[in-house]
Amino acid sequence: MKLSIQNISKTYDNGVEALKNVNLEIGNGMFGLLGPNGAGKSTLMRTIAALQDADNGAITVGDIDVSKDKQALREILGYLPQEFGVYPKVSSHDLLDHMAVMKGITDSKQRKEVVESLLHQTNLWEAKDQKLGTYSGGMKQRFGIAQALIGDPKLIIVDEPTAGLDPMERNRFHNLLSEIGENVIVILSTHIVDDVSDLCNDMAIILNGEVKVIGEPIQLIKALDGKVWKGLVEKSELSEIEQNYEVISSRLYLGKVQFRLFSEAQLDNGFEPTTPEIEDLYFATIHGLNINGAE
Amino acid sequence: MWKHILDFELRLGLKKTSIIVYFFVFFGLAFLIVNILGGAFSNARIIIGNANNNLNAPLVIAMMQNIFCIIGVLVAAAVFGNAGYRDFEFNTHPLFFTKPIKPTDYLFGRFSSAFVLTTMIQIGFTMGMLFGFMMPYLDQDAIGPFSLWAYVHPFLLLIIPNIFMVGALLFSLAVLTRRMLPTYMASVVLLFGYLTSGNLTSDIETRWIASLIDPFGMEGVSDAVRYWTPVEQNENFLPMTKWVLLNRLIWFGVGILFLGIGLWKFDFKHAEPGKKKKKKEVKTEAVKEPVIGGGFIHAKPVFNAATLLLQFKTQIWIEIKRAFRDPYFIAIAGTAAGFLLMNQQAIGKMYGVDTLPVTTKVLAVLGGSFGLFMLILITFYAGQIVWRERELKADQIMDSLPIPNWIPMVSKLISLILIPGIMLAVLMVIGLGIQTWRGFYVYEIHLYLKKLFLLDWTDYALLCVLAFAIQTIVNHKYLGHFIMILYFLFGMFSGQFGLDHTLYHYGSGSGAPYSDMNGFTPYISRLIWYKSYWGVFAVLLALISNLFWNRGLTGDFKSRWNHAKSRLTPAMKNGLTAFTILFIGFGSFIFYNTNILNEYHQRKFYEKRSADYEKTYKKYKGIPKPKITGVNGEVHLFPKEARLEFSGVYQMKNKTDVVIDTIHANFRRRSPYSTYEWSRPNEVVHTDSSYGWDMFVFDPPIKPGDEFSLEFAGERKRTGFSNGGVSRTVVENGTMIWSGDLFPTFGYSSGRELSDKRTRKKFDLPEEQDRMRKFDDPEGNQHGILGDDADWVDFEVVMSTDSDQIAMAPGYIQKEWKENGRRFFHYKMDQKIHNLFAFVSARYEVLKEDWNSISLEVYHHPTHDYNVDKLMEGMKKSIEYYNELFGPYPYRQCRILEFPYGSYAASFPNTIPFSENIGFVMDVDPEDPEDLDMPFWVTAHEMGHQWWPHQVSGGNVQGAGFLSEGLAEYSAVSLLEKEKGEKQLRKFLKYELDRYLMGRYSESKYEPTIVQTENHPYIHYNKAGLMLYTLSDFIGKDVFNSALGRFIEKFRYQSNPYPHIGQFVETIREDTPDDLQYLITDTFEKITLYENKGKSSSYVENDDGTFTVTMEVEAKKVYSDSLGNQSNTPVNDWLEIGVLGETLVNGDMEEIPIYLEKVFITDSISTFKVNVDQKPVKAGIDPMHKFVDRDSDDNLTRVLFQTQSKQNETDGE
Repeated sequence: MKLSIQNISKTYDNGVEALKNVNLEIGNGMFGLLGPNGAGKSTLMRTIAALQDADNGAITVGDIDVSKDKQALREILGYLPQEFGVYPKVSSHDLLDHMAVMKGITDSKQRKEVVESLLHQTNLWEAKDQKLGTYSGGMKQRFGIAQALIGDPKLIIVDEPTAGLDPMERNRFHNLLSEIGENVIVILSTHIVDDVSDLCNDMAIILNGEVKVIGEPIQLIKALDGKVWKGLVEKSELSEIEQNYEVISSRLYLGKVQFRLFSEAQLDNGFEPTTPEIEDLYFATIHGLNINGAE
Repeated sequence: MWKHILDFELRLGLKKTSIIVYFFVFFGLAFLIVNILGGAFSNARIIIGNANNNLNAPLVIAMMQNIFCIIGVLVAAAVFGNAGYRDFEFNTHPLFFTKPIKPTDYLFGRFSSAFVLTTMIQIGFTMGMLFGFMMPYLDQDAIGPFSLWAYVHPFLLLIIPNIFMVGALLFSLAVLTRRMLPTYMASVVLLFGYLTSGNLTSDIETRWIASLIDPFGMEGVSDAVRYWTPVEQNENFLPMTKWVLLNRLIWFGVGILFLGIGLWKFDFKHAEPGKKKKKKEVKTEAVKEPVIGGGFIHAKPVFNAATLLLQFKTQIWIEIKRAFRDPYFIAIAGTAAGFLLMNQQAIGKMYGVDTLPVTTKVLAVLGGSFGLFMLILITFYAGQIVWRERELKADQIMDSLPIPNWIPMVSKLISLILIPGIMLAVLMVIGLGIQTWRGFYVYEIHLYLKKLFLLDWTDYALLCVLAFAIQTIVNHKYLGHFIMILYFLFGMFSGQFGLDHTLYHYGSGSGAPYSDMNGFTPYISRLIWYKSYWGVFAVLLALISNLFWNRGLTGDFKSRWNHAKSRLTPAMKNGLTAFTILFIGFGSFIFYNTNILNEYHQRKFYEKRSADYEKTYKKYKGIPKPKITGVNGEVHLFPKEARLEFSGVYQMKNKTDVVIDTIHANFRRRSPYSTYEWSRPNEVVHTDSSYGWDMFVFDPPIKPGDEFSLEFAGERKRTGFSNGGVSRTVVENGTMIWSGDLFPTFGYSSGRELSDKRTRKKFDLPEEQDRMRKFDDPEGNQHGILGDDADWVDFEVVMSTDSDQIAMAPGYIQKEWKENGRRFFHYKMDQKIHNLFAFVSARYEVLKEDWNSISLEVYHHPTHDYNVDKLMEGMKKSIEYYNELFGPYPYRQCRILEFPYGSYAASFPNTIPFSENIGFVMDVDPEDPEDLDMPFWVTAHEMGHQWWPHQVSGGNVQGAGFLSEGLAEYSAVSLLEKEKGEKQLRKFLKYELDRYLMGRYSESKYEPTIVQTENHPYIHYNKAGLMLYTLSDFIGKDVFNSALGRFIEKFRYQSNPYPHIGQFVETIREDTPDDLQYLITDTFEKITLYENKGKSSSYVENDDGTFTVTMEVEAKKVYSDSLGNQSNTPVNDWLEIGVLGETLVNGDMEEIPIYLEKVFITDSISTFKVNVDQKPVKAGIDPMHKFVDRDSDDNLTRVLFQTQSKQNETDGE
């Protein structure tokens, strides 16, 4: 199955252009959507999840036209929004069970199995009878993941799913996702670069409502091979370097500044070549560096 | 520091649109109301307070300000709640709480800013009024001089303390609970509690309690001004009585207490999870490493019709659980139950006497106080339910579920509709509980179910759909609430603008007065049509809500409109079309009933019609006309068809000494007669169907002494239903028709004139209607007070009705027979009576007793047998006593007939129809000497009418009302004292005084003296009842009663000239000693009030065990003019002084008079020394409240023990 996004644009009532002519083709597997806060990731995901209409353009999933047949889309959708609440007075078990009905798991025995397995999978089994209002942030997030997975969705959209999870839970979630993601489309939006590099076989970087970079992470990095350099200088020297080179990122390291820069030309005098990472691509994109002619 | 916070908060608040909007809404409302009051809109008229008042009387200004302060509680909740809650809402509290601010500074700053802002909003209302009254286009005659103090004084006395108290409560709740909902709930509870507390004031004994517990101080003010005259109402500022001041102090103190609790309990700590009921220990087991991929169950979703059904059921269930498990809902239901319980004591009070808690009364009282509360609840919960997911931020997850829109929408709507359902069930339980608790076990479950669930719930359900649709379509919670408020206001005031047709008042047509006798019967078909009409409309609203249902992130209205259009599937279109057609269909049928089968006009039309009537026909007022001398009629009732046929013959005679050539008949207004034939040649020269005015010219003309007859016949039947309701002329069980509604009447009737002076002015009529003629006007005394169509007449009627009913009219039964399955009755009077009859028919149970060769009969509804023996007793005692005083009861029978609806009794010769709400269901405690025996009392009064006016009846002049009502009232007072004792009499007279003084308060024109009374019930019942008793007490009961006997003897059955009040006063004067003549003048010819006071009193104990009481009293007498302007007058009067002692009655200490003495007082301050046998408690002047005194609480003072030695005093205690 394939998700195809064609020429999607969205301008909000307050004049913010959230999406500008976005085109994407996404197949089965994990698709990472990277971008800084406010780039339009959530708008794009809500639009795919039929929670918001685009001003123009079309989205199709398989042979479903999202704007025309929202119900059909919802039947195959698993969605975890970035920020969400739950009914505080209901236990996670009951609410999951309720949502399983809503997702069309009508056979009560089957539903029980699904709900229980998801509670186990998300490590909520112990707390399944606790009211959701008493859950911590991480537990609530896990509940969100569980509900998104009910009913074998063919299209899973998870917006910042690992926010608030501790490293162990995050790991566990990644495993779960990658396992499910083999046969369905999973769109994972994040601003954590590692999530994408760890998991995704495809990715896009979105900035100011536009898709800046798209491709397989490995291929994208390959294009940077030999063009990323790093170095360590005093703080006072940084501005000079920034003037002369296309600095991708810099951070403090042992009282000095460690920086990475992009240069197709061979550099010496204190710069040393380094293995490019997705992060380099991401920061470079954000800083508007023209690094591989992606545009 | 707090000043800094205040400063910051104020700047923040003044920038907020909501504050500015509230301000202008309040300003605008006030301005609008003033404009409506002032007649700026030609069609709209509202009257606040007394129609005689200046529109800007200080009292009116104060009341309006306070009413809006009370409504403003909801605004205060928003402002104060926000001030307390904002930091928690935005999670900014850690930012503030970590700053070096003292919690008190923080709280106080926040509170004072909210206080200032709320006060400003309230000032908006005050300014709106102030500017409104300055508008030059208003009716300037109705606006008094401007006084700034009139606005400022109530603001300081009422509004500011109210805002402080309410604010302190709401603010403390917000900061302590760190939630907004409790604040809103508290404001609703406060408002509801306030609206129901008014019921406490119905009993005069408990008014001071109501004055104190009213948090807004309104009751105290109302109580303090309750006896004000129009002049005082226009000129005086709010009174600072002790109860008002005490009330203000108490509630200001309560405010400080609330704020104190807030300050005390509040700290800057992070909210820790509350220590809830001990939860199961959450075991922190070692997290088992998840087996990747293991245990993941794949389940294939199924989407078909069965799924939809299951989803729907599940969704409804979760919605319901969420709505009703909500602790706030439970709290609201509990509060409501509490208030309902408090209310139970208000069930059908009358002169402080309880009505039996029969189901219909319980429902009326409980349901009545519930209505407004339910409106608020529905408005509020519609917002909660529609917005719940979005407020919880669960909307994105829920909206992406694969379910159609209607599943969440309909489930939410159903759970909203269930809310009033549950509340009504609570009400039912409380109602049953009250009945059980009062030991009344005649539960009418079917009536509870019908009234609460078939009638009320469907009403509330309609309202739910409306509130729900508004929330959905408007898509802004508070705007939605606001629109609902506008809708309620429209409902309240649209009638004033002439928009009063039921077709465009959503949910209208559901009113159906219940009667134990007649059930809901006449209303059922009307109810069904209206419920169907609005039900279909509600479905349309629901369908539209479905189109506009908000799912996901929605944009502006345009994009939502497009969305809605895209949802317009063929099925939806068909549904909309089908229900629109049904709606139009039902509407057309209703229109056919209200406007074609029945007459419908706006109020303006009727006003104009009355005005034109007066302009066109007043010239015929009082022109000579022949009189009816005999009535021989037939009235055939068909209760099941709501129809009657009547016919009859009037014997008529020209009793004047002039030749009459024209008769003006005005009966065809209601419906034309089928037969209308005079026994002499005549010609119709004028017909005016809109006023039903026909002129018959006779040739030859009718000479003095000529006798002739008129034959008439007609039919009356219910045709469908009207805009206002259903014609109840004939009902299924319990018809009661006055003869004037059927039989022809003649000439001009002043009763059809406009009476409100401002309306009259609008139509260029003189502001005042003509007054009645003075009591000794010879022309006026040619006609009786009961109408100038006839004097005393012969009467005979044949009635028929269904075979299971008994039909009755005044007179003795001549014959009873059956024909064609119907029952016929022939009644005939063997002596002349007034031309006023009642025709009654119902299924009756009959209690009959032959007593002293008089047949005493009570015809009652089978279940209403609670008090029939009291009615019997009332008849016997009345006949016995009145025989002795006023001469023999002139008839061989006396019958009391129960009839449905209304709450009055009317006395016809030997026949007294009693409304089912009076007497039959009163709850009298025979053990309690103070519990007024209402059934006995009403019977005694109506029996009094068998003498007054059925033997002596006044002319059509001032004071005639006194001759019938006043003397019947005195007869009953006198009998009450004789039979039921001093205690009941005292209690009764207290009510008489109260009602008289209240009547003066709401007199909209002028207060007459007794000899000037026209239609002034507060005078000819209440003042007459009290003052005639006092007269008889001072002149001597026997002397007074014998004068009454002489009066009746002299004028019995006299007509033309009829007797008048002047002759009555003369008769009394004859027997009154010279030194009491002034009292007769004061009573009948003046408006006299005393301002008597006890100044001080003390006692010493004498050696022989008796006590000597010394009291200093102040006597003051004033005369009032008809508007309430008072002038002092020297006292040269007989008054009463007295001493009260204590005695044990039924286990309670009660104060009883141990010394009463009539004394002649000439000085304003007098001192008396009297000896009593018993230990005195209180002493003073007019202790039994025999005179009109607006403050009778200060007549007595506590008697102090007087001695040299302190030791003795403590011993004596």
